[in-house]
Order: sequence, then structure tokens, then C-alpha cells
Amino acid sequence: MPAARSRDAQIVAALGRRLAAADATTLTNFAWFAARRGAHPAALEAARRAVTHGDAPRAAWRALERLAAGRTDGMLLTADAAEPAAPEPPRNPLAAAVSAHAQGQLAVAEACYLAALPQDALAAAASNGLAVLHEQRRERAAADAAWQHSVAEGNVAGRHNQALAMLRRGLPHRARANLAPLVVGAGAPAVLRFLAGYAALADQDPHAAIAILTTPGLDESARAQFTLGLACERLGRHDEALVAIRRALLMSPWYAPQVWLLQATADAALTEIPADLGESGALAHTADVLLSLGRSLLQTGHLGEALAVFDQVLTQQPSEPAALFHRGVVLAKLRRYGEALDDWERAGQADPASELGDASLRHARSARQLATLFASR
Amino acid sequence: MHGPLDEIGLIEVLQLLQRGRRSGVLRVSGADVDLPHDIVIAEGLIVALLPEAGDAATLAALAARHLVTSSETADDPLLLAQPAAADARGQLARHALATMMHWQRGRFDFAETPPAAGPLSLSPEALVFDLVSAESQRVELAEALNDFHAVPDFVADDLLAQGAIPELTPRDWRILDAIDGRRDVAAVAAAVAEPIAEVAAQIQALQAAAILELRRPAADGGVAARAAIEAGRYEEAATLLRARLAEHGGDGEMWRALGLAEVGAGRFEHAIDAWQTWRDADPGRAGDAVALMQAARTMVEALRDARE
Repeated sequence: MPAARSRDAQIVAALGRRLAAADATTLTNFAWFAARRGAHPAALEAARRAVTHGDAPRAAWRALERLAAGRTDGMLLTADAAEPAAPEPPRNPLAAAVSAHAQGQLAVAEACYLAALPQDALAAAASNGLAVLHEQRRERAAADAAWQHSVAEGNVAGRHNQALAMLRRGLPHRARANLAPLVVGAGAPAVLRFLAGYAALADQDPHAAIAILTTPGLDESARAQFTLGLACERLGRHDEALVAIRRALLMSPWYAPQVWLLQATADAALTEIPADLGESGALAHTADVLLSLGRSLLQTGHLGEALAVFDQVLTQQPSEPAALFHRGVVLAKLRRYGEALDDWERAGQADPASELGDASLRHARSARQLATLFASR
Repeated sequence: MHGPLDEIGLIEVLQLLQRGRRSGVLRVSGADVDLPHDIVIAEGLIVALLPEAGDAATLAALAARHLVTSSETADDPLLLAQPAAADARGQLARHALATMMHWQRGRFDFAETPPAAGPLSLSPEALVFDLVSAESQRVELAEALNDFHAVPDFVADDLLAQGAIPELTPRDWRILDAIDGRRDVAAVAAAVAEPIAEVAAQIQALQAAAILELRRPAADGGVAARAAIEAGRYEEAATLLRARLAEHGGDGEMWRALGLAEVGAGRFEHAIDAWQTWRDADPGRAGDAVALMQAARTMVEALRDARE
């Protein structure tokens, strides 16, 4: 019935104007009402505004989540009249977006970013958040367009994330080119200097990585120190690698170099979202750095420590060929040939076609001979 | 302690139990003896009413009021501890007890037990007071709202958009959701499954907040029929009411009035038919309908005996 629909739309529009400055509970309930009258955009707008309040009820987030996904089922009324001891000022929609983004509620985050875009003070950071969201969805053209806007406004998080996206797309040289003019001088933001160093290492340029990662201010960054250790190890500078990785491990047990940076307000601290969602990404990066640490320990003769580090990697990833190979080396140096033989055989079986697999099988043959020799001694 | 409700009403039974600060379970059966209702009493106060205000009924009410989803009622055991659940349970209990207090058929049986805790704490004396107040309010509202046949609708857009931001409860929003410019107050109350007097009062408040306006019901014979009954013109009233019911067969209040007109005209069996339909259309007032039907049947038997 078009006439009834039209009347519903008029009612919703008029009531919406009256409730424009209402509290979160009223806006949430109005969103429910508007959705039931078929006024989806008005419902979505009301839900967006509701969640920008610090005391937004659970039903507000639920409404926004559903409406942003084009759904109207499961929306609820709320009687929550949250009365905080000290009234909180309304949060901006960007804060709501970042909060939702960090929780993985992408539809909600997108709705809130869009609500923040028209506000000049929030536009650059909102564009950056939207770009990350598009990149996570592999909508690369949309991500690039959003970052273009963010970067044009000089948004540091936007510059960082744009370069990280290049890296993740397999274009480290482009990431380095983007970052190069931004990391000149000690006053350059630490997050950008770290990423420039990380990009240099990813671009097979450990010398440049070390030059960047040893600039002042990065010795307090766990991920910078981990990366520095990897770069030193790549160049065979095992003592320096050990120092850097041990310093990093004092700050964090995890190496998570790839994080998206989001900003809730102009003066708020940056919020980090792991670019590799879930534990598997962090584990993989941490395994890389532990392998590097183990190799450095092995090269510098710290066999006991090296054995413990490779054990740690293999606890998480029992068939990791490099860890098996290097633990076999440590065990052989300790004259535990039987155990070394086991590790090399497993490494050879895990990846028989690779250079490492081939070497493992050759080492296994030698170990078998030595084991026999020792057994008959 | 036990007996038939036509000799001692539920109100008196509950008042006696409160004055004696008794504890136990009062089982009440109405017209349907297969559907007993257990009122749990602790030191004179009503602490539970089953099944009407039990956990299942409370959760169902929360879902029907759009305060939780059906799946949440199954998944979240803490829902019943929330204030909204306590409100819903109390409301369910008060409405059910108000209906039961009018029963004149059935019986009650009280079994003494040690005091037990329950989710309610209702004083029978206070309930009676509330009932009297509610009835008085109901009469006033019925008069103000054309026997609940006034039709609420949203005010004009420019007016709706202006004014202070109103404080609206979830029930207000459900009432607004049910407003379509055609339903009258009684139909809105039925749509939201809430007591008619409470819905009518909230509609009046929404009118005062310049959100709704009330239109008088279209001339449909209802008011004229009631005037005819008042004046003793029962045939005229019955004719007017049948004409209205031919178009609005679900209007319980008109079926009730038709029963009265038929009684006035001496057609008790027709009255019983009308009240049976009223009972089906308005289950919340089934107790009243059953009592009237019983009275009409007694009259039919008395007349038959007199003829014989």
C-alpha cells in the first residue's frame, strides 16, 4: 500500500526531527519503531546516533549491527535508562566506529565511519578506518580511494596503513617509496620509521632496515627490535641479532609486525588491530623471529638456549621444517645423534623437495653413521 | 481451608490468609476445572502465581514485548533477574489475579506449608485497593474515550516534529507501533496484548505530549445502542448492535452490550450466545462473561420451570 507507506515515512521523518537530540535509549527505541514502519535509512541513522552516546544500551549496538547489514529482525526495545554517576559527554561516531572495528563488527564500524565522514575534524581518520575496512574485505580500489583522502589530510595512521597494504599486496618497493620521504629526520613518527625498516627487510635490503631501525626512539619498540634482530641475523651479525631479539622479548613475547592503526579522536592514542586476524598470524611471525633467535644462538655457541628456543617453536608448530633442521644441528653438536637423526628425518619428510629437506636427509645419513659408531664404541 | 467460589470469593480468601499471616499454596480452579492455578502465599503475601506469572510466562512476555529475542529467553538464565523481568512478572500476576477475583464459579483449596520464597511480593489488601482504583479509572477513561472506541492517530507532521522530547517507555513505543489510524483504543490494546485501561491512559498521555490525537468513533450505532439500553429500548438497541456487529464481528464490547439488550428483551438464550462470543473475543474478561452466562442460564431454567 504505497499511500500507507508514504504516511509511515512522513510520521517517521517528523518524529525523527523531534527526537534528534534525544538520549541513547529513546534513539534506540525510535530506530526499532522506524524499522517496523519500513523506514530503514531513518532507523539506521537513529541507531548510529544512539551508539555515539557513552551510555548507549546493548540494544543500540544490536540495532546498528542489524540495520547496517540490511536486516531488521531481532531488533529490541530497551528500558535501560543508564544513569552514569557523572554524565559522560556524547562520544563521537568515530570512537564508536573504532570500538566496533576493534571488535570485528565490520558492518557496525562501516556505518559509524560513514556517520563521521561529514565532520571535518574526523574525516581524515574516518577515511583511514574505512580504507582499512575495505582492505580487510579485499575491496582494494575502495581502500585506495579512501586512503588517498586520508593521506591528503596528512593522517599518520593513514600513511602507515597505506604502506602496510602495499607490503601485504606483495609490493614492498612501493611501500618503501611511499614511506621514504616521511622518515627523514629524527622527528619522523616512530610508527612510520618502524614500518620503513620492516619494508626494507621485506624488500631484501637488511642494511637499509638496520639503518632505519637503529635511529633514536625505536629501542623501546618490541616490534622494531624484533625486526632489527631479523635483519642482523640475515647479515650474519649474530651477536647484534641476539641483543636485539633478547631486548624485544623482554618487552613482548609476541612479534606482531603487521598492525592496522586507527584513531578514535584527533588527540587519542592509536588503536592497533592485528592485520593477521586470529592467533595464527601472530604465531607465524613469532615463529620466524624465534627461528632467527635460535639460529643466532646456535651460531654464537649458546647451544642450550638455542635448543630451548627451537623447542618453543616446535611446541607451537610441530612440523616446522626449519626448526626441526636447526634443532637437529644443535642436538648433533651436543652429540645426541639419535635425537638429531629423528629431527632431520622429520624435516626431510615435511619438505623433501626443498634444499632444507635435501640437507636434512643427507645429515640424517651422517647422523645414522655416527649413532652406529657411538653405539658400538 | 477449601470451598466453592460462589460462596466465598477469592478476594475474601486472600484477605483472610493475609490477616492470619498464613503460608502455603492456594489452588484455584475456575470454570475450567482442568486448569488449576497455584497462588503461593508466604506469611500472607503472594510470592508466586503459576502458571500465569511463572518463569516461562515471564520470558514469553518479555519476548512479546520486544525486550528480548526468543532465542535469548532460552540461552540466558540471568534474564529473569533483570528489572524488566520483575516488572513483567508483577504485571502478569496482577492482571491474572484481577481476573480471578471476579470468578464466581470454581473452587479453592489451601494447603498449609512452611513459608517459601518467591519472585513476587504482593499484598492482597493492596491488590484489592488497586482493583477498585483501576475500575474507577476504567470508568472515567471509557467515558472520555467513547467506550474505548475513540481512534488514535498521529498528529499532523508539523506538530509531531515540534515540542519537547517525550520520555517514552517501551510500552509507549509498542502502542505507537500499533497506531494505524483505523484501530480504536480497544483494538490497540488487543494488538499490544495489554490491559485496555492502562493502554487508554498511555494513549491519553501520548495525546498530551502532542504525539497522538483522538478521533471520535464514526457513527456506528454503538453509542446510540447504549443510550437505547439505558432508556429501556432493548429491541432498538439489539437492532443497532447487530448492525454494527455485522461489520465489526470481533468487537467484544459490542457483543457484551448485545447480551445485555437481549436480556432486557427477555431472550436469555440469545444473550448467552452473545456473551459466549464476547468471551471468545475478549479472553481477558472471560470470568465476567462466564458469570453472566451462568446467570442467564439460571433465568432460562427458572422460566422453563415456571412454564411447566
